Amino acid sequence: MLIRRFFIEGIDFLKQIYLNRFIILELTKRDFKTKYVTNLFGLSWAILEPLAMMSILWFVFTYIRTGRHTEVPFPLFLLAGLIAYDFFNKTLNSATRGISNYGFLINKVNFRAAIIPLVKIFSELILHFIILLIVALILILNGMPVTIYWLQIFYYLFAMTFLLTGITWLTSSVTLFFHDMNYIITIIMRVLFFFTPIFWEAKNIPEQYLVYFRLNPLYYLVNGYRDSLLYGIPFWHHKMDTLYFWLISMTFLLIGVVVFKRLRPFFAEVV
Amino acid sequence: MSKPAVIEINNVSKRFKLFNNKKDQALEALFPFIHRKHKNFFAIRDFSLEVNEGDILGIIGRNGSGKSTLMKLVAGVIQPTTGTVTVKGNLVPLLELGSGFHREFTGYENIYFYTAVLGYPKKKVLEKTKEIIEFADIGDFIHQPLKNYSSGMKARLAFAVSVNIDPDILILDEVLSVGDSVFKEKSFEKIKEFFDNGKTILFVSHSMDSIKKLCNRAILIDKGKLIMDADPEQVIEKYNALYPGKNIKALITDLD
Repeated sequence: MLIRRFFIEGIDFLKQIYLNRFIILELTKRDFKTKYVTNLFGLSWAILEPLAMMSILWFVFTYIRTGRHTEVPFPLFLLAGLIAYDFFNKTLNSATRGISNYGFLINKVNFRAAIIPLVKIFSELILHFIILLIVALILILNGMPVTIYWLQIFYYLFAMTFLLTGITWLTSSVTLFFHDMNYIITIIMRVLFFFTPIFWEAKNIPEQYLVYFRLNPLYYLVNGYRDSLLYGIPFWHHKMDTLYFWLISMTFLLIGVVVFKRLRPFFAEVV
Repeated sequence: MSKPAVIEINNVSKRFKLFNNKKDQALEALFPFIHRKHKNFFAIRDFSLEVNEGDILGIIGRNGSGKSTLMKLVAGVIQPTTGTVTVKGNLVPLLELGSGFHREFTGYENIYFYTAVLGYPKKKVLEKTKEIIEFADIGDFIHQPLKNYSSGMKARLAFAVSVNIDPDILILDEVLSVGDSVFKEKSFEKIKEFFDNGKTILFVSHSMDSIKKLCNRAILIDKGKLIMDADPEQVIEKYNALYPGKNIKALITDLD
């Protein structure tokens, strides 16, 4: 009975988001513009930042801490994984702060606040597409073959966006009442940076421990980016991981919707 | 002859829970069965009111009497603790200055941003853009970010957008008080035009002259309760009787 009510309310919530899609589009354009276009070189910094990070890691693991043997050249291996993590990290942070960012609207106009995390996600997606294009160029220049599996990146991107939607509905609403949320996220993401196969490979982990690493949904996404860009492995080769990923994403979405709906009436009183 | 009610406020109370910290507030919102420590403050109490189509309703009360809370309830920005608020038609709220405008966007961009948030399609707004800019009459500042605006300019733009997108119901919470006399004159004209077209306006102001001039009905609020609902003249009289301020002459003699 209760589950059925949750289900109906959840569907209605998502339907309302769909009905607001034009507003989401309009706000996304503006959001992207203020963030990256209004300040001089804004966009270049946003693109340079992950590339600089990649260069540092590449330098460290090629010249200082050597002894890594990956199927493809290590810098490319690193690049493919890092951009997935980087997009997730950046979007999680910006969408979590989204509602307080748009606080000037919350207590002045009655509107669907739930679209704001989505606006932030889509705004970061635009940037991510540009970075993906640059990465594609780097791969081609390094002699990597262009395969049909490159298109699979869209599947993983959709999966990541789906996961982020649920998580950020949860975090963006809770953070209004509980500011420490931002610090907790920063720490979790820093831990995940090392516990996700970004600069190491899953095959180097002993079998009995690997199962714990696979509980991290980023494991699926980072490996998926590599499978698509470097190895040409379709996602249905990882049946269990795929099933697990979608189960956890749905769980986050459910929790996100319920928590957001519960807290929404009080937004104007706290922002 | 009575016109249909467009706003119905039914036995509304708004309780603000005053928490010592936000963590308690979040926990209580998520788990309503846990009652944590909080103090209750009723900003609106057992409030019932019907506003009919075509009313220009003046709302009078001292600072902290609950006027703005009432406007926020009607605008749907906050939810009543008990009772119901029903609004029929397109409502555009103008709550405080620069309401809903983005500081970093230019005035021009804000026109589209704000109307998009209110749910107006861009095409419809494009047709009105020229009128809006002309009405706001802030010159080249229309292409400057909002953070460079004076409070008068913000009020001009906000008012220009809100009236020109042609809402059925308009809430004006102390927005005209910062405008200069020329703009005030122009705004009054526009409000009268609204009245002629049978639109509804909720007009919050401390300027008794404005209320006398514009409204066909007024209410007096004190401590979140409705004290009086009558002609503007009578309500203002009551207000002055309730809160007899010292007049200027007396003040000057006091200072001497």
